[in-house]
Amino acid sequence: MQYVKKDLGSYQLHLIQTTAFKSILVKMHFHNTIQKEKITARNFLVNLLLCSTAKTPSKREISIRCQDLYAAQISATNRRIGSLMDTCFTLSVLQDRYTQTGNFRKSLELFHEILLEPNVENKAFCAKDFEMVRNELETRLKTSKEDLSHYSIVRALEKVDSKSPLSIRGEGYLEDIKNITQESLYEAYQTMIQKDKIDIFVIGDIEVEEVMKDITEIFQFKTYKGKKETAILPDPVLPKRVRSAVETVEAAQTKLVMVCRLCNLTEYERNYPLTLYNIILGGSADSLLFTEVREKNSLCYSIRSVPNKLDNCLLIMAGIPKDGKKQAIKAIQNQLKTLVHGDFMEEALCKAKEFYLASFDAIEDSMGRLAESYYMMELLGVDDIETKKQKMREVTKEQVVAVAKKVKLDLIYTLEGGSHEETTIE
Amino acid sequence: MKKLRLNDAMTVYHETLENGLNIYLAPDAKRHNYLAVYGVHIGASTLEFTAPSTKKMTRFPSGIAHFLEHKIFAQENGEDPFAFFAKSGTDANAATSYDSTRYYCSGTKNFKENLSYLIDFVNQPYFTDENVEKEKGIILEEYKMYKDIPDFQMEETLHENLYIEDNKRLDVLGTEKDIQSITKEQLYDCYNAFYRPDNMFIIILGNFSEIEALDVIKQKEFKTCSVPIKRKEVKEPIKPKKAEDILRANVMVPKLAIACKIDKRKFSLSDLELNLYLNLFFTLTFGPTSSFRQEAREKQLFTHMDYEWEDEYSKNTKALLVYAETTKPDYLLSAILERLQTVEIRVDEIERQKKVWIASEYRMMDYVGSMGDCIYDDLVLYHELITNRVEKIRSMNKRTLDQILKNLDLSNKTTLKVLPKEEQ
Repeated sequence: MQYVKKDLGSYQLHLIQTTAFKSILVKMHFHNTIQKEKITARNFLVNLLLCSTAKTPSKREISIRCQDLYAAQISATNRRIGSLMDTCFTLSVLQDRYTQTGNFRKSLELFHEILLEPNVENKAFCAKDFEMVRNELETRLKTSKEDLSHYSIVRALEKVDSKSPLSIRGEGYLEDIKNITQESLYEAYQTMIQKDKIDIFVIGDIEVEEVMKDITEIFQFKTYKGKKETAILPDPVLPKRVRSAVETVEAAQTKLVMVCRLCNLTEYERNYPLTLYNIILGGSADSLLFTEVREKNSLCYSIRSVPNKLDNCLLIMAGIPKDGKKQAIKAIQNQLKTLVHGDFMEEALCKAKEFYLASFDAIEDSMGRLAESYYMMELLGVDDIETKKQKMREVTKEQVVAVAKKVKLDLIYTLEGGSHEETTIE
Repeated sequence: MKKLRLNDAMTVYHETLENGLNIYLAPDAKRHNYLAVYGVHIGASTLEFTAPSTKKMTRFPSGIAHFLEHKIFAQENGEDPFAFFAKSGTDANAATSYDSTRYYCSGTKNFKENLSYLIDFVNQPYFTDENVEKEKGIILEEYKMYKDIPDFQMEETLHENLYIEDNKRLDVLGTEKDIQSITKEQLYDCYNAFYRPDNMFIIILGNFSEIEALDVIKQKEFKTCSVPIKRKEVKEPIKPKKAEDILRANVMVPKLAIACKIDKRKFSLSDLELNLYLNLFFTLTFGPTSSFRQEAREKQLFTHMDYEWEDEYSKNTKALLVYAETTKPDYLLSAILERLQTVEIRVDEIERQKKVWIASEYRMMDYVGSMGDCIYDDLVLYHELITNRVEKIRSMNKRTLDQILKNLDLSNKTTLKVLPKEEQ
C-alpha cells in the first residue's frame, strides 16, 4: 500500500494505492464549524445535488448514466464530528480493467457534474427537485421519532446540554424547513464549496500520477480556505449531582441512556486508554455490561457503551423492561465503579487490546475504513495506523483506571414505555 | 477438494465429508481477516417434525429455532464463547432466519483455534432448566425491541395476512406465549433433529489456508444420524388469508405494504433463473431507472419504496413484498397496480440492468462479508453454490422475460395500510 498526499491549495488530495480491491473509491469531504441553524439546509442541499444537474435534468437520468458507467455509485452523507459539520460525497466504481478504458475518468466527470454543475437558474435551485426533496426531508424528520433507540439518544443529549454542539441533531430540524428557499439553498451551496475545507481521497489499484492528473484537471476549486479548526468540544462543567430525566412513550420497552462526561482527559488518554476502557466496559459481547446486565441478570437484550472522545462524553444505552429500571441502573453503576477501583483482570485489558488490534488489522480490507482512518489523521491530527497499534499495545491497567476516574455520570435518561398496548387491527 | 471457479474470478474449494457435511473454502491472501460460518438448515418456519425423543411428528412452539440459537452459546464447562473469541480479538455472533441458522466468527488471528472452537461450541450444547429459564428474559426484551418498531409490525401483520399454512405467518422470534413455554427437552429435540453434519455446512473466506482449515474440520467429531430428517410438508394455498387490512400503529407518516403469492410450479425455469427474471422485471418497473419511480417522486406519491422476494427451498410458493412510505396509500396502490398491467420493458433496459448486475458480482468480491452472505444465501436457497451467475445473467433475454410475464399472476395479493393511531 502506498499513500501520497498533495496540498493543492484549495484542497488536499490523498491517494492510497492498493491492489486489494477491484473497485476504486473516491471520497470528497467538506468540513466547517457546525451551526445548528445550518444543519437542516445542509441535509437538504446534499439530497438536492444528487437529484439532477445542469446537463442531466432528473434523478432517473443520473441513475441511467451511473448504470452505463458499469454501475458507478454516487452518494452523500452529513454528520457531526465534534464541533465540525462534515459532508462527504462518495463515488465507487469498478477499475477500468473490469469495464473499459476511460470508464473511471468518465465517472469522475459525472461526479464533478453532480457536485459542481448543479441544476440552477437565476441563483436558485430547480423548483421541481426542490419541492420533491423538501417533501422527502420533511417525512424523514417526522419519522425519525419512530426509531425509539435513536430518538432516546437524541433526547438524552438535548437534556444534557441543549446549547452544546453535542446535542445538535445530525438529521436537522423539522421547524427549519419552512425557512429554506431555492435561493437560500443556493447561497448555502456557494458557502460550502467556497468556504469549507476540502479533502479528496482516492483509494484503489490506481496509477498515482495519472489519477493525480485526472483529479487536478477535473476538480478545480479556486477559493480561499481558512485556518484549521479544532474538532474537540470544551471540557464539560458537571452539575453537583447526577441528573435524571424521564419521558414516556407508548412502547413495550424502556430505552435507557446514561450520559457520562469525560473530564480533563489528556490527548493521549482520549486516543488510547479511553478506547480500551470502553471495550472493557461495554464495547463488545464480552464486556462487563454485556456479561453482568444481560447474561447474569437477564435485564436486556441489547446493551453497549459508545465513547465520543471529541464530545468529551460516553453513552451507555440499553433496552430494558420498565420494572427493571432501578436494577439495570444499579448494575451499570456497579460496573462503572468496578473500573474505577481497578477490579478487573489484566486479561480483560489484553482482550481489549486484541479486539482493537484485530479491528485495526482488518482496516486494509475495507476501502471505506481506510479512507476514514486517513481522514481522521488529517482532520484530528491523530497518529498513523502503525503508531496507533504500537501505542495501544503499551497502555497499562493504571492508565485505564485513571481514565475510569475521569468518567463522571451526568444524566440518566429513560424513554419509558407505557403499558404495552397491542396495536389495533381494523 | 474440488476446485470451483466463481464467475471465473474467484476460487472456492468444495468438499463433502463422508458424514455429509458440506465445506466451502475461499482463501484470499489479499485479505487480512477471515470469516468462518457454520450453518444449519433449520429456521423459524420449521415447527413440525419428527422428534428424536418420541419418533413422532410433533408440533413445537414458535420461535424454537431462534431460542436454540441463543442457547447454543451455553457450554457445560461454563465458558462463554464470546470470552473465548475475545481473547484473540475475534468477533462472533449468530442469526436465525426462516430457513436457516448461522454461527460465525470473524477475525485476523488464531484461525485454527477459532475454527475448532466454533465447531465445538455448536456441536456441544448444554441446556439446563435454569439456563433456559434465564434466557427467556433476554429473548423477551429482544421481542419487545422489535415490537416497538413500526416497520417490524407492518412486516409481521403482512405475513399474518398472506400466509395460511406456512409458518412464515409467525415471527422468527415466536409469540410471547410460546417463548415462555419452551423447555430444555424441546430444545434438545430440535437440536438432535437438525444439528447433524448432513444438514449443516461450513463456509470460510479470507485470509486462511484451505489445507489447514480442512485438517481442523476433519479432526472434529460430528454426531451423525442415519434416520432421515422428517419435516411436515407445508402446502401453502395460493390465495392469501386476507385480501386487505389496516394497522393502526405509532407512525408519523402512513405506510403501504403489498404482498403477492406466486405459484412457482407455473414456471419451467430453475429457481435461480426465475428469481433473476422476476427481479429484472421489478427492478426495471419500480427501480431507480424506472419512469414510475421518477414520476411518483415528482407527484410526491411516496418518500420511500422498496421491494423484496421471499422464497424458500422446496416450497411451492414465493412471495413479492412491497413496502412504501406514503401520505397517499390508496393513490399509490392504484398507481402500482396500473403500472404492473401496462409496463413495457425494452431490450436496452434489460441490457443495462444486466451490466449493473455483472459489475455487482465482481465488486462483491472485494468484501469477505458480502461474499460470505452470497455463498450462504446460495446454499440456503438453492442448496448448492452458484458458480456461473454472471453467465446466467449474460444469457437473460427479452423473449424469456415475456414468456414469464405471460404466466405471472399477481392477483393473489394482500394489501396493508399502516395509519397513525390519532386518525382512528
